[in-house]
Amino acid sequence: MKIKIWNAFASNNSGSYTIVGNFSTSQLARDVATELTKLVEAHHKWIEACEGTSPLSEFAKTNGLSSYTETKYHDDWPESFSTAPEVLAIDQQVFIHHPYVITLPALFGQYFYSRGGRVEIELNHSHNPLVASFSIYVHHEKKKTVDSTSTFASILRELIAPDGPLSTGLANELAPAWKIENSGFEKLTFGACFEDLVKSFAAIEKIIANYDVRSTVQLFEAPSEKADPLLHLRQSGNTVNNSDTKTKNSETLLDTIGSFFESIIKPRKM
Amino acid sequence: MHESSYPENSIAVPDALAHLRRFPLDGALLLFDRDSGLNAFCEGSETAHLKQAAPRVVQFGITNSCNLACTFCSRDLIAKSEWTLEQAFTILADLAQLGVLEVAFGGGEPWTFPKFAELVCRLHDETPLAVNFTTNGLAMTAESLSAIRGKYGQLRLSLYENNNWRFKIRQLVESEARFGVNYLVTPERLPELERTVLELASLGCRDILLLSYNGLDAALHIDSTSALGLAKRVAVLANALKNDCQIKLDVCWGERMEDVPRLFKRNDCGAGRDFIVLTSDKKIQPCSFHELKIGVENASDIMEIWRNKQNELYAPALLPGCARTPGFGLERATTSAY
Repeated sequence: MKIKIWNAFASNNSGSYTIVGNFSTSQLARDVATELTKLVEAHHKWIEACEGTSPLSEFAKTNGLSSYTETKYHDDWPESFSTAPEVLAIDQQVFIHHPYVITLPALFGQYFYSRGGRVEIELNHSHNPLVASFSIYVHHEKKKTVDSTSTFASILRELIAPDGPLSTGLANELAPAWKIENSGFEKLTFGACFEDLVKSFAAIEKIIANYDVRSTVQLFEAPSEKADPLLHLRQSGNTVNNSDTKTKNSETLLDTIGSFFESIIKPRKM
Repeated sequence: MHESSYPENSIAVPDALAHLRRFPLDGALLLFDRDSGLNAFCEGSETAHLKQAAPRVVQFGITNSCNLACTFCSRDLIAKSEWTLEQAFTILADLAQLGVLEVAFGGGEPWTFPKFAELVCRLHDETPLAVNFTTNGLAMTAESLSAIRGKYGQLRLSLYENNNWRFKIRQLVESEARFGVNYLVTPERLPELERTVLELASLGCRDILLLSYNGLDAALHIDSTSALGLAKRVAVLANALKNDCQIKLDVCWGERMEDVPRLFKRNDCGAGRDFIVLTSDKKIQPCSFHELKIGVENASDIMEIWRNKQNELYAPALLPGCARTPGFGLERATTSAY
């Protein structure tokens, strides 16, 4: 008998189905489940105090898995007041479940493979980086009262400050990129691959909220691991951008941006 | 009939799932835990003889009263609620006995139904039903949430321009409520989709259901070209947020969202079969957008219609947006319905 497991409640707006489901196969399922049950319970207890090395980190080290580091807000694990994830051995499958967590740390999947099992998922698994691209613009009704060029400059300064969201929390070697279009439809567009998209989004939104601007976000999967998915933002033209980002630090970039804005703000026609 | 005589009860399932409630499907067995929302779909030679005996879900528009007046709402605002708390409880308890797994209240706004919290608690305490509801949140307070804590499966907050949803989500997170958000995707909202979903996730929402519009206003429908682009964007969003938030799709999207990975490949929305709608004026419908309405008095009436009126219940709705209609009937939508 084949068994598929997922988590969902009915809603008044018709049914809905999506994703979820981690399975491994092998005769070792029961043993693996027992081991992971102990691990999950130990880590869930650890979450309450967060003292010393976490059981997940220890487990990763002991079993030769990629090192595991807890995220700042432990958002890859259920809250401590909630129950621990449940580990079930079902025939030849191992299922790890929690109603509030869709995917637990990747470590579990790695462990399935290391024990000769496999992971099956319904979601298209992305191998290439996911890129977030933000566009900031001034609403047409506000154009008479908001100077978009200086506003974009201020926003950009905050974004790329040493502790800003375009300097910290980036996912890989790919440098963030931005572009300001100052003719026609004026907008600031910037993109990056973030380690934690939601956290970076919140940090960016916190900055944007201080200005009288609107924003949109686009997400896309990079076409390959090597190609620069933000090349379009690094091209020169009637723009200011960070084409030399990889060789410049944030302070130098701030200087560059400052000079650029001074040059374009001064001759602005009224 | 004694419980042991139900054919689904004699099927052996793994110990870890043995405590779950059993629901026979055609050729398969569904196991369900109302406390966690865990579903296990079992299929094999052992389940080949099973037949579905009841709808899995009852969507209950218990009242049409609402403290908002949204232009896209499908409800018949003239129809008054004919239910008392006792009648609502009785019909749902009887349906639970006949096999129904879940009730999902909507309306109208369910919190405008007198003693709604009491109904939720009684259903949880005295029946095996999972109790869920959709709300605009305006009449829901920290106290009312506290009154139903642990008694419901999931509540769904509808996101409107005028229901202060950011505040409501913070309130739900602080109350540790199990909740999701319903977001109606319209052409006007398309550019904002990623931004909105990311904001919801950053506020602490872990479950977002994207709804398609059903109705006459052409301006609110997503055309097939836009839908294709939307499906790709939703797939990327779901992938990007897989550690943070579930993205769900309303069944009315149908094949328009073919590119989005699903748990099950389904050809039909399940209206009138998997779920039925019970209206505030004591009628049943295949779904809340359907023109078919049949009066009922009790659970036996509902089951008789569910068993014997399949042709009517499985027919597509006339309202544009129905996934059972070729092309979703969008040509029937007018330029502006309002």
